[in-house]
Amino acid sequence: MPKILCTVPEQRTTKAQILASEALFKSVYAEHFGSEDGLAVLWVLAPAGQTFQAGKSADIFLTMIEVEDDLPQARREPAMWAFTRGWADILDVDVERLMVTCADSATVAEYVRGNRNRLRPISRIRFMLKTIVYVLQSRRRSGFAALRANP
Amino acid sequence: MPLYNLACRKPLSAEQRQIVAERITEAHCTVTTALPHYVNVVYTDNWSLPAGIDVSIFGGVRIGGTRTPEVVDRLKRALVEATAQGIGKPTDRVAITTIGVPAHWIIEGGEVMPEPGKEPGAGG
Repeated sequence: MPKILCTVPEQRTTKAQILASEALFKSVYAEHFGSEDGLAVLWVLAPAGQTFQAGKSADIFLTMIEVEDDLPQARREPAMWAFTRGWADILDVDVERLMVTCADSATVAEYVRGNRNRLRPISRIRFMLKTIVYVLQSRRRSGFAALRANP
Repeated sequence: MPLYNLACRKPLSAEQRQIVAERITEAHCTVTTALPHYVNVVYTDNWSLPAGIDVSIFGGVRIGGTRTPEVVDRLKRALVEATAQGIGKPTDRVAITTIGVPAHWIIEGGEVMPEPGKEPGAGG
């Protein structure tokens, strides 16, 4: 199941922007990669004071989009630009403020696994269960799937 | 990119976050000669980290170009030292893992990222 992982500043991103972004991601994904079936978009709303750029407190907008392994750059790059330009419009920020990565599926899996493996082994199952519950609750409450910024 | 995600057992103070972010940025730019503008640091709190670890750094960094395994090893040591100094703890209280991401998979600053060492005005 392909994933899109997004981090946006909690205090300046509206629910409408998140829902519009999600629609954009699914549309661009289907247009460039054939289908959005099973695509999961997960959001981290970063609280103020927890994100820095160039050593200064800053709003940051990141997304990692999972694509097939070894996708040719000739297919990857147009999609990267479509995601970037469309997302900048929705967020009403300059494209220079965004970091958009179209990463191979194997790298996304390594990213997710590496993040989880920072936990004590005994805590990993509880972490996963709490994450699933939070995702389901946020989807029901807000219409999008959120991950806890501070587990 | 780089994106350094710092999982903390307990929330750092605002001052510690600022100092650690500055030192990580400086360490990254010193070792790689990349531009500070691209160094992102995200803090996340209340992690159940392994015993003896206060902060766990998970970094996504560009690979290829001048970013040899030796440079990455040096970078990891520098980041651990920078973080440990910033929180006032020994280096063995800080863990680090990095994953490499090819530069051409990333758009940042309004451009497809160049390979390490090919940034305008930088050497790595």
